[in-house]
Amino acid sequence: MGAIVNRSSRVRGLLLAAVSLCACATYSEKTQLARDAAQTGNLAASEKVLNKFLGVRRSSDLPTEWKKETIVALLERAMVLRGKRDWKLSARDLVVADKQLVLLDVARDAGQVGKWIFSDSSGKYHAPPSEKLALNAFNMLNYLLAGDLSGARVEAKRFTVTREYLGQLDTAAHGAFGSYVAGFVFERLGEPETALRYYDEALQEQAFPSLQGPVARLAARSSYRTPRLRALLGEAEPTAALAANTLLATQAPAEPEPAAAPATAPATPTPAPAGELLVVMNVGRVPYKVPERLPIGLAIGIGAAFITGSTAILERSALKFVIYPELVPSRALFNTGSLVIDGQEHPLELATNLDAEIVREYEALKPKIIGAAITRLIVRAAVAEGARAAGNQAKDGAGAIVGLLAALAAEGAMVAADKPDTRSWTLLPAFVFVARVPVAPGAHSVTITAMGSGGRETHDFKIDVKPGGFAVLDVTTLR
Amino acid sequence: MSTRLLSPLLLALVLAPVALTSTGCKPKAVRGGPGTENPNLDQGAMSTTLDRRDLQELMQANMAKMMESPWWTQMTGTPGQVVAIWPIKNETSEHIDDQLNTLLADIETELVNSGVVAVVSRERQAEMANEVAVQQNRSIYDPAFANQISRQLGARYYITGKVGSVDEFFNKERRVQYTLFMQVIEVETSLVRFQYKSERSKAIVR
Repeated sequence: MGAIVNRSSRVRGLLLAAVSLCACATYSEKTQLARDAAQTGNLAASEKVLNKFLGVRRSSDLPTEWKKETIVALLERAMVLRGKRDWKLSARDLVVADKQLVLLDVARDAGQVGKWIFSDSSGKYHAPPSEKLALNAFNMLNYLLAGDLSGARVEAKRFTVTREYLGQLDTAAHGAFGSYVAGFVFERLGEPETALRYYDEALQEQAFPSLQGPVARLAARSSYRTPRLRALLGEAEPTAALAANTLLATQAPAEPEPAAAPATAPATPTPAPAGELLVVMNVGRVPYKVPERLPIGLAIGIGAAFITGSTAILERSALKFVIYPELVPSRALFNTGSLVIDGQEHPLELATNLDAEIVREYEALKPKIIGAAITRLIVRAAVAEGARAAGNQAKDGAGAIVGLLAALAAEGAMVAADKPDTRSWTLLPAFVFVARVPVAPGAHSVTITAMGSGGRETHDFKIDVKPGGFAVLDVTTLR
Repeated sequence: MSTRLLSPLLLALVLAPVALTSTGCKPKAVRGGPGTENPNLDQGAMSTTLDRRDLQELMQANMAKMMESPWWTQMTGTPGQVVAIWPIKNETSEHIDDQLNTLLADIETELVNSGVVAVVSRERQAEMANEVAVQQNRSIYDPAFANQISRQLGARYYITGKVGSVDEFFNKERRVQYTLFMQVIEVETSLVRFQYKSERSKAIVR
């Protein structure tokens, strides 16, 4: 009996080693080189890695085969192309990825079965709200930068459809950056009411001092008002004019307090600037997921509410840990920056903190992710027990060892196939800053500097603004 | 559970991940449309975007109504009136600018082939409009701007329009309802001489 125990321990150890060697690389591991290249500022190398991953020779090509990781890799390439200021190709990639995401959201996911039995990454990719909103927001900017206001309008509409859909699902729908840019697009399209609606959305999430002038100008051309806009404009609430005892006054629902209205003097309509500059600076990278091991006891404590099956069976399992996708910091170099126009510094406003949004989304989902991983462990343990029972029936007194081997083989094979789902848009910028600066028509020199613990990266531009026109500048560092 | 039953189960469970991750048939290019081996290739909807068939049907509905209108009767009575075709504004949630250019080309073809009106070359018009729009920082969809350029081109009327959409996503289904508006505007008076709308819905359903 002692010999059997010793042999079984050795066999178990060998199998575990084999399992850890055989386990396939996950998405974040396979795309690590692309992030490493971006971290050093070598966007061409990052692009090359992603093109190889997508199975194409150059970025003008689209993938012909849509595997479970293709769509995420296409989103990554779009961001690298933005970093290289190839707005048109980046827009093309994002449009294609957006359409695929819609199809995936609608499609029945056959991979869901596999997700609960074999591997978290066998399911189709469902982008989290932060990624969906970022996609349309960044693409709006792509079109704007390419001088295509009509295309930017389309992306603004898509942004709204997504935002409203997420709102229906009671999913936190942030996206101040997208609303801000959409407002700018409609302002430039000469549609003041729509522009005001978008600016109101942006103000719902945070105060944007830079919007005071534009909102005042647009309000002079549109009667659209909300409590936030009135507060920004310094206008009285219409209900205040009603007598307190009128039926309308008593029935009127209390409008929510403007959350983001800055305490400023009433805004007066200012004449449209002779020219205007919109600057967007995207720095850092969002956190990403890596495979991580968690002791079973701890994992059960976190994911208890989402476990299907009895955890008692795990007592006989060979593996005493759960592999799950853990969110880790990107260790990007920059998290802030500065803007200098014609030698004068102008403030940059933090429009969206995607880093914080992604952490919040992940923390909300973490118990479910770990619960699913434990459920898979239970399924494997049940199969292993079945194999053990079958093996125990072997003749010549070798039943115990055959049973153990069969159990380990079954469990080992399933563990090897289990890949935690580390898919996510890892090259999304962590922080999006915006600035709007009125400028005189003519030539201007602009310096945008990304800064942080990793030093600084400076981008110099020479621009020409036409009378009454505008220019948009974008810096995307991906590091 | 017996060994006989267990073995196929184990095999299935171990092989299933391979099956789940394996790729399907290799894609191949095919030719479709009338006179080909796939005459119905263009019939199926591939997405919620307007495709050629949608645009042709929307355009034909509008053109048919236009040619029944009092304005067209007036045109047939005084042939040779100059008409400009202004870009159709895309107010949808889909990138269909290329499709709209095709639609404009179809409208131009119909009008030219009718022999009733004289049509300003769209290329010349676009060139002029873009040049002036950049110089004056104007939107080419601004009605006053359209009027100004049409007048400069010597047109008595211009045809314009817009495509709008209502886009909804509910219960994992997506539907886009498109509306194509077409108008004929008299340059001199800015009066609308003809107006019609045609509709088309597209959806991704389960």
